[in-house]
Amino acid sequence: MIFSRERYSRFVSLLLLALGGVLWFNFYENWQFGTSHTSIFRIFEYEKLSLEINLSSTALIYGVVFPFLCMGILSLYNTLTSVQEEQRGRLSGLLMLDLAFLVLLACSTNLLIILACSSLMGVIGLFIVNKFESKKTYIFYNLTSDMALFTAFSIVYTARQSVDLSALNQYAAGGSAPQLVGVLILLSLSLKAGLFLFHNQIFSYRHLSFNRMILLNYCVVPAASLILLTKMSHVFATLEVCRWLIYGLAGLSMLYGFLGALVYDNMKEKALSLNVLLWGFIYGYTGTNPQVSLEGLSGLLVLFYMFNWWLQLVVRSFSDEIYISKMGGSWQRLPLLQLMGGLLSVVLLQQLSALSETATSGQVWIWTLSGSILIIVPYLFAQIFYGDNHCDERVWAFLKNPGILSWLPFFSICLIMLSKCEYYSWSLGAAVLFMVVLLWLNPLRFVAEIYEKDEIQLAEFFERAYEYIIVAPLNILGRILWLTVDFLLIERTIVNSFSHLTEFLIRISKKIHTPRPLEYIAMTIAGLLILFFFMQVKP
Amino acid sequence: MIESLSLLSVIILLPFLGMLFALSSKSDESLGNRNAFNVAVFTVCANLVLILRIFYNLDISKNGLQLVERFNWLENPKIDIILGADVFSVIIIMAVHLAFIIGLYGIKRQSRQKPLVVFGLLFLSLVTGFFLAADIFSFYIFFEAMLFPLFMLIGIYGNIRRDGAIYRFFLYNFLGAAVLFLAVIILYNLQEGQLEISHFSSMKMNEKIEYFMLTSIFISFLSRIPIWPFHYWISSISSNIRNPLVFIITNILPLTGIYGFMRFLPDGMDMLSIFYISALEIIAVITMVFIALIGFTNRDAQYKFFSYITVYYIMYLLALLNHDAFTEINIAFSCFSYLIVIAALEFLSDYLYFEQEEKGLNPDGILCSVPRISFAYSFFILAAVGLPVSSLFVNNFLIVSNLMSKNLNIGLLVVVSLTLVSGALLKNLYRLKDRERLNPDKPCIIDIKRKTYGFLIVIMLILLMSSFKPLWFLEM
Repeated sequence: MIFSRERYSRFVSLLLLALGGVLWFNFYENWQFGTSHTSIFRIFEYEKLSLEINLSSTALIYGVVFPFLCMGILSLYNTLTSVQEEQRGRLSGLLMLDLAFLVLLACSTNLLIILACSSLMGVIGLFIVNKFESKKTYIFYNLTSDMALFTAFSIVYTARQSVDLSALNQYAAGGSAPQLVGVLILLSLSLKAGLFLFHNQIFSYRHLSFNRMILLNYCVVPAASLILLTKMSHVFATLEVCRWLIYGLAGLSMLYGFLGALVYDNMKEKALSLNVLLWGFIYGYTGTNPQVSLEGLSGLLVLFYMFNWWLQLVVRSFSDEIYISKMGGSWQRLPLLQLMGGLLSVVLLQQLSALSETATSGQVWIWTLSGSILIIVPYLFAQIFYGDNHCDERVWAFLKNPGILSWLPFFSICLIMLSKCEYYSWSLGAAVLFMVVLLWLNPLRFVAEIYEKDEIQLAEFFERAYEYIIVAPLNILGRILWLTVDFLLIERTIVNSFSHLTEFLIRISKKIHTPRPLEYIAMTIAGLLILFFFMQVKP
Repeated sequence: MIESLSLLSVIILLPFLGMLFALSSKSDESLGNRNAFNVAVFTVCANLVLILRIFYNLDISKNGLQLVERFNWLENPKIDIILGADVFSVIIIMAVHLAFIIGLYGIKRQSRQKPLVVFGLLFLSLVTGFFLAADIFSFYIFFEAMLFPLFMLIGIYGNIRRDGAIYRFFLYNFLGAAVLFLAVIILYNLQEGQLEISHFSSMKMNEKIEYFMLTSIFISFLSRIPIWPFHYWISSISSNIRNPLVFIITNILPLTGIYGFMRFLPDGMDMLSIFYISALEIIAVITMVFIALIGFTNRDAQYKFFSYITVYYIMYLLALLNHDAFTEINIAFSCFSYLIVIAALEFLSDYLYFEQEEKGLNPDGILCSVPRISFAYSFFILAAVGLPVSSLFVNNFLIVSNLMSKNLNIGLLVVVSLTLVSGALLKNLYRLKDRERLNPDKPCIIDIKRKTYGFLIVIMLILLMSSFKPLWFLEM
């Protein structure tokens, strides 16, 4: 951020990528060797409150942080190689800072530090969001989310006089208002992750560049939400109401994400829908099951990140054409891009199959996600590469496969994950075959007709609903209160009454000082009467 | 004792002396302005050094007044002036001085600085005396005398509607002054000259006198706090006078009401106190939500600031009613950042207002062309909404926790109000940063000078340090 000048931008970005790479390698090495550190820095200690930064590392924390660190490095790389990015150095600096807070958030067991880290990640995200339309939504969702977390932690501190994470779990088990705390935390996390009903924030990222959009989804606020989820799943598991709310929100998010990936014409909105689908899955699968950690889902997270990246490469191959309805028929011209997508899909299915095999619970969530992927991927392939050519002449003329800087790391990561997973079974083969059949038949081709319908493509149902349900009544109430209480009651009634009373008293005193003898005598008599009255009353 | 004796009196007298110097500055406008400004800055800085010295002399682990100074003023009737300090009062005095110095930077562009500096320094002297007053007599004198400079400033710098503002200011504060005056006289007769504030809460009074005393205290201190129906005078001044120093002074006044409650609230709760406190809680919560709602919907930036200030003061008041030493110190730490933040925000907002008036601009997107102000404004807004960049973060957490421990519903309503006013401030910030509504054909405003920016960076660092440790300066 210090070298904000454009000429240093690429150099600073490269430097930060190298630094990030070294740190990532060091982290991976420590994890593999099982190295654990305990570093606690005490910031201050009040009478009943201690605030400490805990950087102790355990195998669990390594597992939670690792996927985000991988995605962070990939984002740094993407930032460096992205042609559209103008402020590479600044963005890389912000990302590094964000990753530092993310690590701190994952390590921390102090509620106040957790709150501080999650808020600060929100602030960093605010600087990453560089479009006003997105910024506005972003800041209000994050403010509400942080205030909900703040309230929940305040209630816990009030009851337990401790800001340790264990106090939260104890409170959920036997506090006076555990359901309120649970619902507030769930509200906060859902707002951060952009689950169904709160997805406006995530969808407002469509105004940003693809790179920033992916980065914000996987490394900033939703990432904080997932880490918080792993820390607080005990609370949700304990409370019945939260369990059902999570099931409802996660299920609806998956449905919304699935439908969004099919019906939206805009590639960014498709990518965002896929992310909502993934967050829905993670919440449903891990939210009420403290035994399941993010570690088991790290591969899936990275692969969805890669899927977003692949969609970005598709858009770039089509000369930044953002609408899928203006693609198609390019299978002969873009073989490398197809191969990348195909390999990624196979690895994704392999990961899901492996997860389904090892999972002891939550099979329904895994099957739902797998089913959604099996339908969405061939549908997207059919739209992008097959069928009729809907491209603009200029776009068709400049169709190009991704460059080596994109495909080399892409293939390397896919192949590493394919070999690391070591899961090959008949179900994986059947799934791949099913996808090929679906691609050939393309049974959902009628859905593409929805791309023409502006009332769906441009609709902002939820934004309008919130406007009518929350913002408009608040505005009307505020206006009414101001007009009636402030203006009518205080200004026009109380203040004006005093003003008139003063005027009246002045008029009377003028009478007393009048030169007319009759009025003078009358006033003197009145004064004497008052005096006499008081002398009679008071002993 | 000798050292402390000089220190407490000196920090009251120094701004007064500064005022006399500023008064005698040359009548030539530009030279006079510069002289007055330099005198004020020097006085405030010197006082800040002395305040730091007082901090070193204080035992911060102790409750109650320390470094007590006693002056025998009159023998018949016997009146002693007693001064004393505790961590709460000294930290508030420090914050007031820092807010004042920000206000001074804010008036640097104005043409008529001398009256501002003169009355500003007089106010600073009186408000310092008020926070150090340990006897009821001097407490009353400072409490009322500090209205005079503000009265003069409204008269000199008010706009076309200043008469209305003065009228409301006089009406509400006169009511408070009159009842407190009666209470002081009764107390004087009851105590036979022993008028230490610390004795008040343990005084034995008959039912009628207690009823009168409590009513007087509640009315007089409430008249200073922007609580319904007394809030109108502050909002009236805030929206009618565009001057950062006047705004800061106006918004320090409610703190004197809060401090009054802190000093005079009875220790033991009898039926009468419980009745008053319950009634006050209900009015306070309703006012808070009401003002927060209006602030959220009103487009006027000054009203948004006013609603933010109101919600914070009412939150402090509600927390104080718990009468807990731990909460009191948290209020002081929170207030330290809060006063600095509102002063800085008012300074920047005023700068923007005059720039846009001068160039005939719309406020939408005005921050897009001025990176220094944009950064500073964003930082102070983020601090104001309670993000972990100032002591507001931890201390507000503790204050709200304390409120929730007493009454969960009140705590929740406080959080709702805080969210609404934070939303209001953020709405305003993004209106100022909305690049798409910026008119490219209009000229851009000029950014603040590097020197001023450097000064604001120092203020930001002070706030950041306070988020780690409220009394960080004691460890330097």
